[in-house]
Amino acid sequence: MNALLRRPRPERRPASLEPLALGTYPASLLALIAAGLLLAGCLPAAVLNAQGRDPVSLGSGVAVAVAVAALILRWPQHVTALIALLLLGAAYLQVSTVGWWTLPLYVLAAHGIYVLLALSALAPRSARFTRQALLEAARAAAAPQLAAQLLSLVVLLLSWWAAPAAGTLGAVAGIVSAGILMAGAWTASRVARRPENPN
Amino acid sequence: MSPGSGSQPTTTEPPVSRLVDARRQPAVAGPAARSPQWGVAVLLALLFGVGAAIARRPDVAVLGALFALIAVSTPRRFGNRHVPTLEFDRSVHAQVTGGTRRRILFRDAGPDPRTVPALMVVRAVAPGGRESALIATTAETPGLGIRVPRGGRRDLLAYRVSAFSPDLGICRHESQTGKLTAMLQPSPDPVRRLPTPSALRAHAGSHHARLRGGGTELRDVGPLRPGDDRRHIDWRATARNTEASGMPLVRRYLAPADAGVTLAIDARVDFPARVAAWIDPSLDALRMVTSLQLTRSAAGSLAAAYLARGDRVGMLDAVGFSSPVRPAGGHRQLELLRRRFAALAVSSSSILPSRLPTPAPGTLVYFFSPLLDHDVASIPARWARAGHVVAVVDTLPDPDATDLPFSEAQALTLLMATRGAVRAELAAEGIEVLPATVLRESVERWGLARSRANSLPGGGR
Repeated sequence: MNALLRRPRPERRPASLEPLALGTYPASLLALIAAGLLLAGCLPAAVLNAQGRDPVSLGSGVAVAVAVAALILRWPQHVTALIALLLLGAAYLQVSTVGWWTLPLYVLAAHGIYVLLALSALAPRSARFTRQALLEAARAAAAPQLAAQLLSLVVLLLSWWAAPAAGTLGAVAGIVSAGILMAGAWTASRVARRPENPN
Repeated sequence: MSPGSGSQPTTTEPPVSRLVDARRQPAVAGPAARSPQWGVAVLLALLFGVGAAIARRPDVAVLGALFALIAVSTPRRFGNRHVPTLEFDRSVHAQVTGGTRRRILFRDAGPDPRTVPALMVVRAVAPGGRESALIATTAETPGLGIRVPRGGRRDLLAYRVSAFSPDLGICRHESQTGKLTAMLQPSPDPVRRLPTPSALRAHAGSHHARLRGGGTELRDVGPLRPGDDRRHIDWRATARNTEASGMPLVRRYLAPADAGVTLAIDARVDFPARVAAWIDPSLDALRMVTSLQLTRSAAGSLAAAYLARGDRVGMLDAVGFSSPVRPAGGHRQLELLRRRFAALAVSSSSILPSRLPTPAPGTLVYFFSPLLDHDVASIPARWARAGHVVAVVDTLPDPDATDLPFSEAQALTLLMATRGAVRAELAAEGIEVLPATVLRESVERWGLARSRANSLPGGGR
């Protein structure tokens, strides 16, 4: 038989769900914004290190931040989100001497990273989001995020005025709170990506 | 069409092509589990609280209070009991055109306005394609982009809809699965001069079409209308008529029709025009002209043309195991044939029937095939030797060898040579080969040639 006829007939087709109307955003854009928020959130720490004229510390800090941002872009998942939140918290603990203006930046960055990466992990990389879905998710996640930020603030205060053990305990609590927040989103993404409905 | 309706069969109506939303699974609600987020936060709040009480450390108690704040801010269950049901807008049921891009809107069938809208995750996958997804709220009406195939029955995409609380801190989900299918029937290309071999009369004799005409079979008796023959006025029936109009009643007769036609289909392969798509599965053959598309279109055109003039048309799967359609006339037969043509698909089995199917006696046979091997060429030859009048409709599209590698280009050259040999074999058997790409011209030319050869004045009625 002819070589052309021995080949499999064409069956594969591209996805039928195409980029849709105006007002939808790709998941890759969400990851990009999250990486940008991480770098912006780490900026106060970089400023602090630059004032302290510690180029090694500054370089290593920037390298870590850029590496985590690249990790976010490559794998916008819960694990990378958790790493980013921890890095942000570590950076925040250094910047108390810079000024109180860092607090809103930190809160905004943490909240954005959480929301964007939790949504990105909910669907395949080719997913698209409507603007209303993004706003609704950001609004709904604001309450637990606010609680987590308050917790971080208390950690900071405790490390100043209380015993050193309290600061360590608070740092552990901050890590756990970030894990708690991501646990719910991780469960939701597992359900959303389940191949078939168990019911 | 009923004989009493007094009009032509409505074979010129456009065929119905539409999208079908088949729900594979109804919308169901998943188990209402507690959120792990809430549970862990409560556990930690308790641990910190107990630890603070034992160690008498108010700072630890503050930490516990903040975990309690997280637990309070997290809803424990999905807020409402609403199960989102995907509902396409009315455009999904409208007529669709093959080979186009279509955008259909969908929304949640019954969102509860009293509750906060949930997040709706719509995942869709085309057969053999990549999965894609859209995340919207249940209060929105997003759109879905769909490529409509050129013809036939195709599964466009399988979709799954899940809903979550907007903060994603909820275990409970609700989901629904379904499938969107396109059913595109071939559009007829009007063929006017149809061949009716004189040999058919000897085999089948005449039958009566459902048209009014000059036959001998009584069709109906009705008031005289323009165009009726006054010699057929039934004076006795007119005298018995009690209507006040006094219009004479006329006897109408069925027109005689001679031809029965069998459309034999070879659906073993479906090759697009672009040859590179035969071997490269990543090329999208959905919007290309394929051999089965040409088969659907050509067979549909011939069926519509023959049935419109009152002849009987049947269908035969020449190389498969599908049940045949017996030759019959009328609009319902055309609808049946169109559905069968639309449902034509390449069989997954390569086994050929051991016994050659036989067309109905005395019918004119059109054999639709891309003519890629000698085995297929032997089928119409055997029918012709058995006394049928056979024409072969070549359904392979004009090959487009763009971006074809050298070895495949050589293979294509060999394939074209094989096709030439097959056509020569058919010509030697006296079988006409009609290209499907220019079906109307070739069929009319063939019909004219046959009517002249058979000295049939008005062979193309």
